[in-house]
Amino acid sequence: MAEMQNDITNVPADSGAFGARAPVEEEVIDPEAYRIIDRYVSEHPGGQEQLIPLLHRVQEHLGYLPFPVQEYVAGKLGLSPVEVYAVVSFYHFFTTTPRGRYQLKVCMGTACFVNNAQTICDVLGDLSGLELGGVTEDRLFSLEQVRCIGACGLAPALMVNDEAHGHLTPVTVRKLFRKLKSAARKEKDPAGGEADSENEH
Amino acid sequence: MDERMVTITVNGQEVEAETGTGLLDVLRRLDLDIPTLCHDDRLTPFGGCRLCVVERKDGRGGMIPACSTPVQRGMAIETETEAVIESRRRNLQLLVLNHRMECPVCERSGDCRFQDLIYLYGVPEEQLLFERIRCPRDEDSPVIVRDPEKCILCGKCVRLCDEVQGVAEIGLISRGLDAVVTTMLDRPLNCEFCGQCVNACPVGALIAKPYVNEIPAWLREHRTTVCSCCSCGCELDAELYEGRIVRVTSSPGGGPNDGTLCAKGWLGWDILSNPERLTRPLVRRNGRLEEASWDEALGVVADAASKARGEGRRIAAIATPRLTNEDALLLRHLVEDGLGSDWVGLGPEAGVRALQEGAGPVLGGAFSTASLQDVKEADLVLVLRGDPGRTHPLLKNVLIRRHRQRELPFALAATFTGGLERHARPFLRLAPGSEPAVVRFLARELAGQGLLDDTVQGYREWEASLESCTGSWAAGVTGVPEEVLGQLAREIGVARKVVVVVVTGRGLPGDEAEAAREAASLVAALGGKAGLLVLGEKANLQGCLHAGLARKSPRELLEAAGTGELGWLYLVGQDPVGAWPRYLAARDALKGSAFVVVQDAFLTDSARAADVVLPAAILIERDGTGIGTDGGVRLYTRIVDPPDGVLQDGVIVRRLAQRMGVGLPSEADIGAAATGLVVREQLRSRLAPVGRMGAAPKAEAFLLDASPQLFHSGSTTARSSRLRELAPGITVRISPADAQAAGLSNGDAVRMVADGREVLLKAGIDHRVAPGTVVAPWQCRRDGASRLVGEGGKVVTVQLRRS
Repeated sequence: MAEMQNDITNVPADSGAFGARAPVEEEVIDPEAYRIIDRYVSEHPGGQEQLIPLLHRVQEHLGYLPFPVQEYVAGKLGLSPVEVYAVVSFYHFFTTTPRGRYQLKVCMGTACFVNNAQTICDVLGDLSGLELGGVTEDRLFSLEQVRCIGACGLAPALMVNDEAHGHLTPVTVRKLFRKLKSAARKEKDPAGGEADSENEH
Repeated sequence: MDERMVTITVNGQEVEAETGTGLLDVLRRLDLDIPTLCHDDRLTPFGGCRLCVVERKDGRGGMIPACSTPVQRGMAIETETEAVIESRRRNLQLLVLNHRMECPVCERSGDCRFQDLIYLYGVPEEQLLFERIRCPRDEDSPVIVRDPEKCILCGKCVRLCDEVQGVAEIGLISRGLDAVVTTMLDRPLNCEFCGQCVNACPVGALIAKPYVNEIPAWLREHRTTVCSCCSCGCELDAELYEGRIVRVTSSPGGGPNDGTLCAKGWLGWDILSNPERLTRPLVRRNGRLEEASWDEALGVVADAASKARGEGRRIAAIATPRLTNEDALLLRHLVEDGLGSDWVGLGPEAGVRALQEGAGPVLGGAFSTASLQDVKEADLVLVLRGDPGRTHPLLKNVLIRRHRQRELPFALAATFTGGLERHARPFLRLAPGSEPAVVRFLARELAGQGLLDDTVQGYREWEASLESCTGSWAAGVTGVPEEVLGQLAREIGVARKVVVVVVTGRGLPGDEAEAAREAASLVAALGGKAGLLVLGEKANLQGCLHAGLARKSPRELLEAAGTGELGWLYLVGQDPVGAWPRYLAARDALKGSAFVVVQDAFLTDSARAADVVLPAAILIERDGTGIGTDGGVRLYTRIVDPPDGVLQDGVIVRRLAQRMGVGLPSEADIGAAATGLVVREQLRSRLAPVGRMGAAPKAEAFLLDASPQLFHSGSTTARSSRLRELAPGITVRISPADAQAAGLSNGDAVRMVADGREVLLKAGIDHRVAPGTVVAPWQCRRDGASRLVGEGGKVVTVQLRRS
């Protein structure tokens, strides 16, 4: 019996089911994201059918869906975390890796593709030092390829966040990249006003 | 002709079927062998594996999946055409491409649906179009190994975990070739370890570690029995080799559990081979317990009984509600007829008082009036006092399936929960012990609307006594908003069939008898549309009650023992010292008895204090009948022999009787009496006015939740090392917010203090714990929370101090 006592006592506090869970890796998440979720859930009663629109709303704000946020959403909608993760991982649109302040989305639709979209992509890669799907260390730029953005008349085109830029050449792409960089620098300057204004539209 | 019936043609033969029936069901009823990998009758149709395809020949041509197609008028189906066979073969071929073929060394070889079909359809492993997707095995989870490279993505595990178990610990992550069944962030499994996923896996992608062994499927012997760990009475399929259990599953469609199990029924069977099992009788000689022969031990027990009777001292027995009907009857005959004493007690296990003192006086009999089927069908189920997911997993599965598959709601009103609240509509988090207030309010509200049957005896006085139980009063007592309570009353009012479930379990706050009495009163007043289901703790509680073992309360018997009134005390499967709340002062009571004989499988704390200890068979080592918590008959079949020298309780009682010269009824008579124990006839209901009810105590500190924790309840099942590994150990679990406020982190040593007593525990932070509550195991050992639990379900508030 004495042995058994030891057996029980030796089980570490965080082991076993219904025990404590290891915390998700530390990551600073804008607290506004949680407020957005709270507000959304209180304004849209209903439960799990709100999952996808809510995830859209959160990703719109954060640029991505960190795991702690997914767990928070799950708790709010009465789902298990993995049910949210399954949806996030299924849809191409949702992402769990942080995106840059400026999300560079190069269109790979047919029209852009035949108009050398790959070159545009390569130039951006050289300028930012990014692989596809990557984000710069300062989280200023992220680079990805997207399906047709519906601006075939402007091919080759890209989106910077919600803004389309068309008829691109390596030269105009370089110009655009420099412009974004200096805009970001201005933003950092206290005199340049509130950061984070661009994402608000 | 019946409007709902349609005629379809299957392989040229006309068949009638009900509209809306799944085509697969119809085909299988015709004994056609339609292969499936992703289909499970317990789940909503999925249509993933495409092996059940059949050819439709009535113009709307093509291959259709039988599992997810409802029958339609005029359908013409061919099940064995060349195209059908070719389609199945191709689909199997695609699955083979990404399946790690290691049949010769695979655990499931010989018991693998996929292997069978590959053989049947002759699919070779060749034509590799691409490299198999590599994916690491998860070997870090307790109990279960997950091997995604063998997974064929049928999704049965994911859907069972969600639709039947209500846990959704695993999900289908990503899509296409990258799709994999895994947990959030690929963490090790942290679930209920019910084994549903493992038992449903058609391949070897999910394997139970304890059942990994060298015995191939074709050498195992299959036996079916009934689990007697709790009162659910689930059907088990055990696979044995040379008398040893090498695997446990359960078949869908079999017993009341429909193929579901819990961790105890799936894994807990190492209890039987626990090296601490008693195998020889023990007799106290010179103050020490020493091994003795059965003959000697029984002689000592018989002599002590006649001595006690000669001295005119009392004879008493207290039994566990785990006894089979037959053994319970034999024990009663021995003590009552043979030894002339009616001091027979049952319990104190949870549920005895709820049925005996609560439901009995109101409904006219100490039994539940609702069956499991009623719980499945009712428009509304109200669950009171606890989370059946922690105490009665089968009932939890039934509730989850109602909710997830048929959108039938259930309400949960409890203080302590374990995850079921996520599915409850509505969930009422009650102030501890305030269940009676909810029921009184509902009764008053329904009476006010004229929805109750006023012809029930005592109705007027009862209704009058509810006068003060208004919504604002109930809201004040329970802490639940008045609107929520009112809405629940309206839902019960319009429901055509209602079941009220009263959960019992050690450590649940509030008086179980009072809650059961109030619930029974409401049920009686609702008339024919309502039923009551009391969930008792131990396997055959209902049968033991019907057998008449609960003549005296165990408390009375212990008190009598304490005053030295008892000359002979027979504890059958009971451990008052180790397993009962400490306020009963069982140790002193045992000291006060002139002679104590303990009959158990282990040397329990009470056995250590006994004069004679008799080793008994337990659980699936026994033969006999029982009655489940739902009133259904259960047939316990011995599928494992007890260790040499160990006897079943009834056999011991018979030998003892023989030794004492007491005549007992024959096997046949006992068998007939046991079968006759099932009482279904309901007597006349009688209502009595309700008493006063005090407000719940204000929690100045944390509420202690020491109620059962699913993996073991602290006594017999705690002897399973597998279950102990799963349970959180001696840990007090606290919500993240409270932990932060108290400055506690995971693993901190804390002293949990109540009423001047304290136990030492480790802190564990758990987001599933409700703020203001701490969860600690009952354990019934040195550092169990049971040390802090006071009398009769009183609410315990504790303080945590860092140590």
